[in-house]
Amino acid sequence: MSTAENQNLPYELLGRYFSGEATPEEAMAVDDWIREHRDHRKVYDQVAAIWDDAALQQRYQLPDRATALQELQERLRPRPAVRRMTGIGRIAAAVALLTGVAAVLFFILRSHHTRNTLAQVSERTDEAIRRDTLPDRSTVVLNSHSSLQYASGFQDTVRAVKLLGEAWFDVTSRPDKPFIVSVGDVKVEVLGTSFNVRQSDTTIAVMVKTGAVRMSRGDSSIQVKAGQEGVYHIARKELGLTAGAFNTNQLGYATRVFNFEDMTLKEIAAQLEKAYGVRVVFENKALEGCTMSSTFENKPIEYVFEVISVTLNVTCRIEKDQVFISGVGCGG
Amino acid sequence: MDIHFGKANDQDKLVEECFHTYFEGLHRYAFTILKDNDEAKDAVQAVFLKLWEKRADIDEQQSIKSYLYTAVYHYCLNVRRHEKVKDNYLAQRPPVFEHRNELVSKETHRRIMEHIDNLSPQCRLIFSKSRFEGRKYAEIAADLGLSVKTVEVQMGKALKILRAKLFDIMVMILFACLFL
Repeated sequence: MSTAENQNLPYELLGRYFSGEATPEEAMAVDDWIREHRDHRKVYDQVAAIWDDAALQQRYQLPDRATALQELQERLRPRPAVRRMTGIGRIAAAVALLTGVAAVLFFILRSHHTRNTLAQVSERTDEAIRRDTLPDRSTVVLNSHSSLQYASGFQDTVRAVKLLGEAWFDVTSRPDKPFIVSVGDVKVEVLGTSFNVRQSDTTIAVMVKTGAVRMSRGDSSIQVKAGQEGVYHIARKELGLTAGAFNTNQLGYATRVFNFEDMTLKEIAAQLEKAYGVRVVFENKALEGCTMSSTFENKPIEYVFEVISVTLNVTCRIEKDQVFISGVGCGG
Repeated sequence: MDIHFGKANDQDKLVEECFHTYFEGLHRYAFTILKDNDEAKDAVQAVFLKLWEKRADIDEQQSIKSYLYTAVYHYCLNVRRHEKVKDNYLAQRPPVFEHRNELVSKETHRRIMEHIDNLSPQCRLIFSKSRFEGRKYAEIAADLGLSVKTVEVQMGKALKILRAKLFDIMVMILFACLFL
């Protein structure tokens, strides 16, 4: 960005906006300005990052729009009004109730009839990971070389999915309809939470980020709570909890939340490649060994590589889905 | 059930479209006032509920936009007023999101604090009062015997300097290399 442009940026307006002083008109002006140009969005994100990171308190995070809309629509559904009823009203209500019961029975019977013919949805990934929303608005991130299967529409009494490989689930809360992941011999049952399931040749591991899940195999089961990892040893047929907390970075491919501690740029790049679906190219191989520590919480890719460039004194150039890292090195 | 079926259907779609178009901007705006992601989401949804009730009267796109921003603004101010009343009873509000602290980049935080320390004394004081103490511009101005305009100018200056220091480093290095 040129210096001339820099001088015309509405810093005072942004200051008012972030301080919570903006009038509705000013807030609209900020949003119009952001939409005006790509560079404006970038400047906005940078100032927002400074504002957020300056204080150790809650940071801004945009909620998932689809989920928010779903919640809104649930609140919009008309609720039956509670009223005192007169004689005729009661008869009418009784008739309505009977009709209702008949209708419900009809639909239940019909759905039983059609259940077997309901389509199964199958998803499979190769190298690229895949983000998707399930019929109940739960989100799933399917890691490379994995597959997921479920009945379209989730009309059953449970929300059942079958997994091969690794996936991250952020499950919407439906206490009446448990969400069950079948993976190998193991079943993972939840009401509403976010967690990761990883199947390897020797183990099936469940890492829970929020809430709790029940992991079961045959008659035995364990509860895995937020921050814990439950592991099933396939050969020993044993369920157990891993001691200590798991490494958040393992979920980075799905959550884009990273806590890099003294890691090499090569390792960091490998994790970012997955999470953002990019390829990182080291134009100077010596840079692979540079190490850094930093935390990123679902930040735009530009922000992440900007922090890396500034921290390690390298140049990161983003071109479509490739990131080129160059520079003399971090040693000097 | 729904009495105005033909028109209502279009209006339903209009409300949903507005939700998609304005949700992010409204939520961000609500967050600047409430400083809480969930409360901000509640505010936006409450405003959309109201819009939904009035959907039969909606006519034009431009007026919806300013209606939404204004409604969010008033809703948030009401929430804050309500919270102040609550605070008086509770004396001290428990810090709500402390468990998130570990997720904030300590390194980034340290770097920003360093640059804040390097601001001019007045600029630093005003920025700190707004950012760390959550004081209103009018309160800061009254405290320091300044005009609100001065507070505004100093806040803008602080953001401009911090952004330049934290994000334009690369550009400066490049320029330096060019002229060497």
